[in-house]
Amino acid sequence: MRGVRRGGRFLLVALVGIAATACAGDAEPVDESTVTVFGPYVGADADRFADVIADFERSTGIDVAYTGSVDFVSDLRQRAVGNQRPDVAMVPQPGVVDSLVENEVLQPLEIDTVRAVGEAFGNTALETTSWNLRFAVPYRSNVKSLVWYRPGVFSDNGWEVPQTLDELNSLVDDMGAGGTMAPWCFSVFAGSSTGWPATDWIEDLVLRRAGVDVYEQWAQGEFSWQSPEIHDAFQEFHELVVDDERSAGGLRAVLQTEVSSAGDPLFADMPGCAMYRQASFAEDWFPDGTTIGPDADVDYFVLPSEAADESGIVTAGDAAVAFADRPNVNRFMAFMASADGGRAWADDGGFISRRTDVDVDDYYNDVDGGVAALLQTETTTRFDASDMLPADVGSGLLWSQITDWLNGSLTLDDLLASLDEALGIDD
Amino acid sequence: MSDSVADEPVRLTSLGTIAGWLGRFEPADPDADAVQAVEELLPTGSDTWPYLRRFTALTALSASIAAFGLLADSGAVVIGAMLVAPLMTPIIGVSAATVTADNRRLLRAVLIIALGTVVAIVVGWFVSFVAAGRVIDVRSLPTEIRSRTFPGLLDLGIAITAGAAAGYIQPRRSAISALPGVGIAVALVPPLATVGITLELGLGADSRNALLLYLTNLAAIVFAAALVLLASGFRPHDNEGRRSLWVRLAITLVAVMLVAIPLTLHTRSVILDLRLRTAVTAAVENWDPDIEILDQEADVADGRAEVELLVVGRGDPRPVYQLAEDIGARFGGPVNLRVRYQSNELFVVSTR
Repeated sequence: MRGVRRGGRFLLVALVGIAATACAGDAEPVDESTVTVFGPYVGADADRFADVIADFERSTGIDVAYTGSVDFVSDLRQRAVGNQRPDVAMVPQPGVVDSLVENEVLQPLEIDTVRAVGEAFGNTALETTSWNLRFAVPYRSNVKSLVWYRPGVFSDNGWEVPQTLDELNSLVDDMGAGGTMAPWCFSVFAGSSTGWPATDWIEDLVLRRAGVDVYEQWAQGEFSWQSPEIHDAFQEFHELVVDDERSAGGLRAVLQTEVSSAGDPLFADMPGCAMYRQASFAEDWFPDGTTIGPDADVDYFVLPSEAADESGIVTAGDAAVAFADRPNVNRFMAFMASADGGRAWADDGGFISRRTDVDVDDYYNDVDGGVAALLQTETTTRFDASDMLPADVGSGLLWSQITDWLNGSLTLDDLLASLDEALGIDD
Repeated sequence: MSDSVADEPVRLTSLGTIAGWLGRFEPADPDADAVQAVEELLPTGSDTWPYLRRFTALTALSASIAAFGLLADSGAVVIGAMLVAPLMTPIIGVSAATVTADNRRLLRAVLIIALGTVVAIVVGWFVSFVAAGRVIDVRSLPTEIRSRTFPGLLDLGIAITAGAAAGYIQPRRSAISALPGVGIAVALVPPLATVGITLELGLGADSRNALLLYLTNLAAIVFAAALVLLASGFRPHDNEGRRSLWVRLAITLVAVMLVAIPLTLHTRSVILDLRLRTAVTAAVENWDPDIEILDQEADVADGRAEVELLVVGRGDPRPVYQLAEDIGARFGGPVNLRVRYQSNELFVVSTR
C-alpha cells in the first residue's frame, strides 16, 4: 500500500446512511438511542443493507445509523484503538474479529443469539466456518472461486470451459497475449486494501495444488510461506495471470485499475479479456442489465482443479460483531442472527448465506440460488486464508507486499520470508 | 333576513372587499393613440404576408445568431439575438386579444407565435447540426446553454415582471424605447435555439427543460401583460366579451400555474444542492482545516447526497468515514461520498 500512496493520489470511497426515524406502528421502542453500525458495504450494497436496517427499525422501533467505507479494515482498526467504536461492525475477516477479541474490545453475544446461530447454520457449515462464534454472527457468504466468461465469445472462438487446471493453462496459451483480447481481466487497486484480489488467486491455487490439509495449516498461520507448495502457487499465479500481458491492459492496469472496474473489458463490444476470475459479489459490478446464464451475456464456471473429478471452492463472508452491550444493540445482533436479518437483502439480490433454514429457491435469482447451492453441496469449501490470518498480516502486510511484488519492487523470496517472519514461522 | 339584521351595516368578507374594490376601480378608457399602438401589434389585410415574411426572416436570423452565440458561449452575442427577435410582438398581441376578447386576433397571434417557435427550434437544430460537433463537448455544455436547461422560480419572476413591463410600455409610445430591455430580460429565442441544439445533440432532458423555460416566459408574459393592459383600461367591446374576460384571464393564470409546478421542483432541487454544498464545505473544514478543495461535485438525487471531491493536503488524510458522517449530519440525509486525495508535496531541484 505504501508503494501506491507514494504516487500521491488515491481514492477513498465512503457512504453514510442516516436511517430515517422509524415509525414502528404499534411496536414499542426498546431504547431511544440509535445503534451505530460500521461496515464495508458502499453504493448499491449499502442500499441493500439499508433495506435490512429498515426491516429491523420497523419491527423494533430502534433507529440504526449505518456508515460504510471501502477503507473499512484500516478505519475499524483506528476506531477500535481510539475511542470511536461503533456499536456494531460488519467484518469480512475472521482474523480481524480474532484481533478484536484479543484486544478485549468486543462484547460476547447473548446466549440466545449464539444458540440461534447454531440452529440456523448446522454443524457442517459450522465446521468449515472460521468465525469466533462467541462474538460473531455469520451473515453474508460469497464464493470466491468463480470465473466469469461470455458464452458467445467462447463459442465464436471455439473455446470450451476447461475441466482441469492443465486445460485452463492450455486455454490461456491458446488465447495468446498482447492481442486485443487478453486471457484475463484482473486488477488489485482498492485504496488501503490494494492487493486482496491477488491473494484470492493464490489461495485457489494452494487449495487445488497443495490440498486441503496444507491449505488449512497455511490459513492458520502454521505452514511456511517459503515452502515449495506456497512458493509454487505464487509462481503459477504470476505465470498464468500476470506474465506476458496476460491481463487486459498489462501490469499498469493490474496496479491502477479499481477492483470494481477490473471486469469492464469483459463486457466491451470488442472484449478486452476472455475471463474474469472474481467472487460471486462481482455481479454487482457488472454493467446494468447484464444477464447471467449459459445462453446469456455472461456465465461462470468454478475454477477447475487438477483433475476433472476434483473440486474445491474458496469462500468468504461477513459477520456482525458488537462493541457495545446495550439492550438495543443486543436486539440488533439477535436480528442479524435470524433469517429475517438477510431477507430484505436476499430479496434485492446479491445476498447468499450458509443458513440451512433458507431454501436455495428463495433467493433473488438463479445466480444467487446457484451459488448458494454450490455452498451447500460442495464438499471441499475453505474460508479465504488471508481473511483468517491475524489482521496485521492477512489484511495488511500481505496485501501491501503482494502489491510490491507485482510492481517489481519486492522479490518473491523476500515476500515469502517476510510473511514467515511476521507470523513467527521457521522455514 | 330579519329587520334587526338588515339594520346592521353590511360586513364584507375579505374576498368581498377585494371584489368590491375591484368593481369600483374602473380605469379610464385608453386614448386613441394607445389603442392604435396595441392594434398595430398584429397585421391585418394586405399587410399580413409582408409581415409574416419579415417575422420569419427575423426569427430565423435571431435564432441563428442565438444558436451560434450559445455554442460559442458568448453572452453578448446571445443578447444581440434577443434584440433582433420579433416574438415579443405577437405575444403582447395575445395579451391584448385576451383582454379585448378579440378571438380572431387571438387566433392569429397564437398561429404567429407557433410559426416563430417552430422556426427558431428548427434553425437551432440546423446550426447545431452544422457546427456543434466541432465546437462543443456534450459532457460539458457551454454555460450559456446550461443556464437555459434548468429554469426555476426566479425565471418565472423575471418573466412576470418583464411581461408586466411589456404590457405597460406597449400602449405608451413615449416609453417604447424601453421595449428592447424587456426582450433582453425575458429571452424568448435563446431558449428555443437551446431546444433545437440540445435536440440535435440527443440531450432530451435538457431539451425539455429549455422548452419549459420558453413556455414559462410565454405564459408569464401573456398573463402579466394582460393584467397590466386591463389596468390601463383595455376592455372587451361587448357584454359577451366582458362576461368571458375572467375566464380568459383564469386560463392564462392556469397556464402560469402549470409551468410553476416543475419550476418549483427545480427550485427545490437547487436549494437542496446549495444546502448540500454548504454542508460539504463546512464538513471538510471541520474534517481537516488544512485541506483545500480543488474540485467539488455535489448533487441531491432522490433525497440522497452524491458528493465527489478532489482535495489536496499534506500527509495521510484523516478517515474519510468521519467526513461522510459529518456531511450526512449537516445535510440531514444519506450520503454517497467519493474523495480523491492528492498529496501536496513540493520538490525543488537545481542543476548547475
